[in-house]
Amino acid sequence: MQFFGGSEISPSPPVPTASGNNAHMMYVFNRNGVCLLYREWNRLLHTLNAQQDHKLMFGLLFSLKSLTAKMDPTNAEKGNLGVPQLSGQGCSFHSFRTNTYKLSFMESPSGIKIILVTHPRTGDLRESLKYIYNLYVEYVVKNPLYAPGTPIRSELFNTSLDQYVRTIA
Amino acid sequence: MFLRSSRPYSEKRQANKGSSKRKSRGENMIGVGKIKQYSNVLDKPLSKGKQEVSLSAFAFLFSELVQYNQTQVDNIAELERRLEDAGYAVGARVLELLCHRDKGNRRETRLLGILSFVHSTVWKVLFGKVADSLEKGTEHEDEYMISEKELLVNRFISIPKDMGTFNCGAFVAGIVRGVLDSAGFPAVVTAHFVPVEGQQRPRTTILIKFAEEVLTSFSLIVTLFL
Amino acid sequence: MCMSHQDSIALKLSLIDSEKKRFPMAAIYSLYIINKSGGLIFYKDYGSAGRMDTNDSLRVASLWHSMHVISQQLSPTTGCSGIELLEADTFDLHCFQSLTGTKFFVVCEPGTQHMESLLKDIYELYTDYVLKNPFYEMEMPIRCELFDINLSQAVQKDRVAMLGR
Repeated sequence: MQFFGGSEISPSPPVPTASGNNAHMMYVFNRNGVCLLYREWNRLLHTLNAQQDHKLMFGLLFSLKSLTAKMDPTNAEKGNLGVPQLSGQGCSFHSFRTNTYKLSFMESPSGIKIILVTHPRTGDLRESLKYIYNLYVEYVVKNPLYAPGTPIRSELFNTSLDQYVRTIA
Repeated sequence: MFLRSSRPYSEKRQANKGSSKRKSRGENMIGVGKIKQYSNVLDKPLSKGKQEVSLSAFAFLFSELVQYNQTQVDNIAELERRLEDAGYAVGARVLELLCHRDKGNRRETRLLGILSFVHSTVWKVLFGKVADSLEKGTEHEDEYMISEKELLVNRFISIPKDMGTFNCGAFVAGIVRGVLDSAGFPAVVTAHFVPVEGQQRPRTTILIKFAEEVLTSFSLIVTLFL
Repeated sequence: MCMSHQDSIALKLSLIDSEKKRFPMAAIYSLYIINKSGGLIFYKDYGSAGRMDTNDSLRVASLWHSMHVISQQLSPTTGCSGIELLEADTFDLHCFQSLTGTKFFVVCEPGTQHMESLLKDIYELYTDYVLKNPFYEMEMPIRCELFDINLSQAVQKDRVAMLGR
């Protein structure tokens, strides 16, 4: 008797252009701003305690999203600044860069936000984030022991994530 | 009363710092890198030296001069007059220096001579170029105009709309008046914006209206000469 | 006369292409200058859909100012000086902060090149025609005719350069 197709991850991971340890940290938030996962690989500077750091990050993303929605130069029908928007509604952003890091951002239709902080000269990571989202679906969402909205404690997810992140250029 | 009389002094000092920097720096360059030391400042030759000064330094200094004077006045006419006074002191000194340097201590005595002296020699020393044009007024005999497409002092200045026709060229008008007055040609000198066709920016015209006695003595000389 | 379907499509496409060349899309949508305390001192729109009103542009400016500061606090390493480039779905935002804390940012089409040098040029114009103007009050809105004239020339030059490529 055969069940559904294999458990392999559907899209193959984007081809890494070079190997190296470029990633600094990663956050996963759900739609309510609860930090489901925080992974840290190479972070030298901690200015705040973990909880405040997560809050600040979520606040930054929220505000930047409403800023981009308000600024969208191709759309004349823009709402008011600061009004919460449904995921997928309004113009969003996919990355920003400072002189010390690059932050890549992805939001799933269910409001899951994946944030990856890497070296400032990293290329476009949109595909990589999609792949990470896929890992999340495979190892977290499909895990029957996982209750949605709670912090992710999946050994399998963490190891495959670590493994994949190491390949990001 | 006492305060008032002390004001023009500080203002002249400021003005001097501003516009004569061009030449004083040149003088400061003298002797640099040379072994010869002059024991007395009077022994130093009055060479032209390096005739360059940072435009930014000048622009900031001039901007401060205008800002300072702005705090001291109630109306625009007053501000214009103060800028002109500041320039007057520069003009008087410039004449002295240039007569010594370029003219072998001779002063220009002819009307057209002094006008072309202002138009070329003075302009070149102060602004590094000859003025764009020198014309005689068409309506009045006693009026002459020196025009400049972009006056150096106005290079970075945008006049706010509420200040009307105010022109920071009043400072340059003051210099011209200083030169003419010290040379014995008293005149009323004013700066005006004149729109130019096909140009976004108006040019600045320095209008020189000579005092009556200048013209009469001038025509007297002419008649004597004839 | 008969024209195949493919031919007519190709003709239409080439027409669209030439139209584009004659009327290039605005590469730059808008320009903002904010003072060191987050107040908007200059805003110019170069043709974005639904121009922002004054209140909204002020709010956007101060929001950007705080986002800029927060992004520095979240840096994984020391020496972060805030967001330089924000890539959104429909636009790119390039930001340049001067040493004195004045921020210049342009909103442009995604992938527009040479925005850093344009921002530096604009900064230079600001130092020339705004800071050297005796009638400009520091940290106040910029109303300088010469700045406007030179700015539109700089932006125009940038557009011509875009067209050439």
